[in-house]
Amino acid sequence: MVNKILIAENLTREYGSGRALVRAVDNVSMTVLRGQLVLIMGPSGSGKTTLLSMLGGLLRPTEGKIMISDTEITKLDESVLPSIRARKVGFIFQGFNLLDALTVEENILFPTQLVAGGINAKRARANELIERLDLSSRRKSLPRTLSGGEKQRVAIARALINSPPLILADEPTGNLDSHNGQEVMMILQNIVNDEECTVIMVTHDPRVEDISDRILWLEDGALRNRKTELHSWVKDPVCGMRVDEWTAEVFMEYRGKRYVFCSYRCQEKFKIGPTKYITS
Amino acid sequence: MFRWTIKSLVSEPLNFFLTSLVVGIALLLVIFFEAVFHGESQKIIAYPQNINPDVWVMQRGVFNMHMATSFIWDWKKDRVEEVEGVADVTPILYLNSIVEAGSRHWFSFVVGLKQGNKRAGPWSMATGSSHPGKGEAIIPELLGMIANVMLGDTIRIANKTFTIVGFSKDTFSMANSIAFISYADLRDIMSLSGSDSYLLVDAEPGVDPSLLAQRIKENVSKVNALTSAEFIKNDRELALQMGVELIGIMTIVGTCLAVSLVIFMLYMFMEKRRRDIAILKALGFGKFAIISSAIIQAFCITMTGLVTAVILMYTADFLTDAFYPQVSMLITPESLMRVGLVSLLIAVFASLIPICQTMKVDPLLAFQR
Ligand SMILES: Nc1ncnc2c1ncn2[C@@H]1O[C@H](COP(=O)(O)OP(=O)(O)OP(=O)(O)O)[C@@H](O)[C@H]1O
Ligand SMILES: [Mg+2]
Repeated sequence: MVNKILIAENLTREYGSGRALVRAVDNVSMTVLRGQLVLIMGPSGSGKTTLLSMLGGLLRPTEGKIMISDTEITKLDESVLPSIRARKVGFIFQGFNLLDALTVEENILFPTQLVAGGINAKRARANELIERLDLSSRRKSLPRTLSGGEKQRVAIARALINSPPLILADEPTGNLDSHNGQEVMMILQNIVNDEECTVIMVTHDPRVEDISDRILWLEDGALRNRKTELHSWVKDPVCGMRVDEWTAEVFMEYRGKRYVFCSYRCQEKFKIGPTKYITS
Repeated sequence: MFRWTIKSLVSEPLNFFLTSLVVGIALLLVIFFEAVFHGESQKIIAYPQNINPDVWVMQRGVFNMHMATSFIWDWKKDRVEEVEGVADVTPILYLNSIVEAGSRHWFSFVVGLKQGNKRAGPWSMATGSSHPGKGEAIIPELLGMIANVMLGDTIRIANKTFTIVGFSKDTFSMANSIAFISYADLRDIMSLSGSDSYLLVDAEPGVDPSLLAQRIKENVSKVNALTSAEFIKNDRELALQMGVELIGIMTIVGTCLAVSLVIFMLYMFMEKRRRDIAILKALGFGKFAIISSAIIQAFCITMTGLVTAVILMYTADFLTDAFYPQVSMLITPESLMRVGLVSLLIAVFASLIPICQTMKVDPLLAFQR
């Protein structure tokens, strides 16, 4: 059994050319072992999604190489990449991305068409995942009738159905409230433990840091050593909640000063009447 | 995958229904012009088809009736009667002219009938007499209805006034109606003496019409003789030929419109599925599966559209029969086949669009929130 699930060497991805050239990912190297939960963190626009899509074989790096359990995917032809994705990688997206026309069960079983044995070979596994992710009562429901948390659990089951060695998740809790977000995080952590698979997750949620094995800090496309202090806590001027200035998604400048918010809602409130919230 | 293909096709039934309906209307354009045109050309040959003698005799160099003029000396009738195998000869006069009724004008076949003729007059009457006397005319029932004239009213044919004594059925067409007047009146209109236009020949039982026609041509000088089947065929060809260009243009316009509509609808339909396609790609579905799925969807939409078009066509046929009887449509199996083939081609052609679309979808779209 390979212990190094993923090796990336000198990954670079550029967008555009000339003066409009953007180096979204800049010379990133990393090795991820079986059974690890790895977080990719960093400010917005730092290249996290770009990096993740290269690791999953959805995007070709401009330079560098990627090996997923001993297969060098950067060498492979475009036509074989889909089948690598189907067998080796499970994706979980922020936007859930279920197929609206299919029921929960059909969505979960959908990727099994891509592997040997097909649907019938995976029915037992689907049932087990449905049980485990507490979806039994929604088995025949259509995605549009599900709550956000339920949708993400279906998406997790779908990512796991073919038992891929590598799960890639891009802000899986980004569209969920904190309770459902917490639950999804717990599920992902359990999966790493029980299924011996590897999860690489992009997240802004500082609470996951404690359960993760490694944190990669991305800034301007490159891996950096994170600031010695892990967080820079500031107060949301509207609700007063504690927010990490390094990772915050929602912020704005007002009269030359930078304000950070816990959510867009607070930012909207702030925009309507900033003076109400500024105690200078 | 097939399950998803079909389910996602009908997951928004309204969208699917509207798409098919628009595609159906587009395809209808292709059938509609053809059907109207075929119906109309069928009407143009109504007279020879219904009168149907064994052999038509006419002036040499004439081959049909529609848009033709034919004169043969009336003594040739006696020569034809003498030919072996001829049972009966009915002479008619015939003129392409204008019927003026109400305040409208209709282009018509005007047929002059001898008193007591057995076979050249109207074959189906709505009301009144089927034998016009002097100063009397029989016109199509529909023409009478549209022009709002009754039995006893007067109309004008070639600038002479006639009293309507009968209404015939099956003799109206937008391009060419049929009016019957007496032989003597038409002879006066045409300033003729001593000639007929056509001779309708009945053969003795057991005599082959084509042999008889041959024999007439050999025995009577300067006439042409054709079996009814040949005569009708010539008339139909001429009628079709006259409309062929128009109908050709209409069919091309209709087809182009149909293709653009189908492409547009498929494009809109597939645009809505871009995210789904991105998900499929991200999950690891290959080109082949995704393209086949797009083709199947395009095909289903076009075929549902075709079925819709055929239903609409028959509905239109029924409605025009009920409300616009002057429009005659003829839906032939061949034209349906042709439209089926055209829509198949459209389906193939139009599915190139969703194929290009699906190929262009970036799987990274799945990462957008
Ligand atoms: N298709 C593209 N074309 C051009 N530039 C792009 C493209 N995709 C991403 N970029 C740029 O690359 C950089 C990294 O983008 P990326 O989406 O990877 O950031 P991210 O860390 O995922 O941000 P976020 O936290 O907001 O999701 C950004 O500056 C972005 O504008
Ligand atoms: Mg991102």
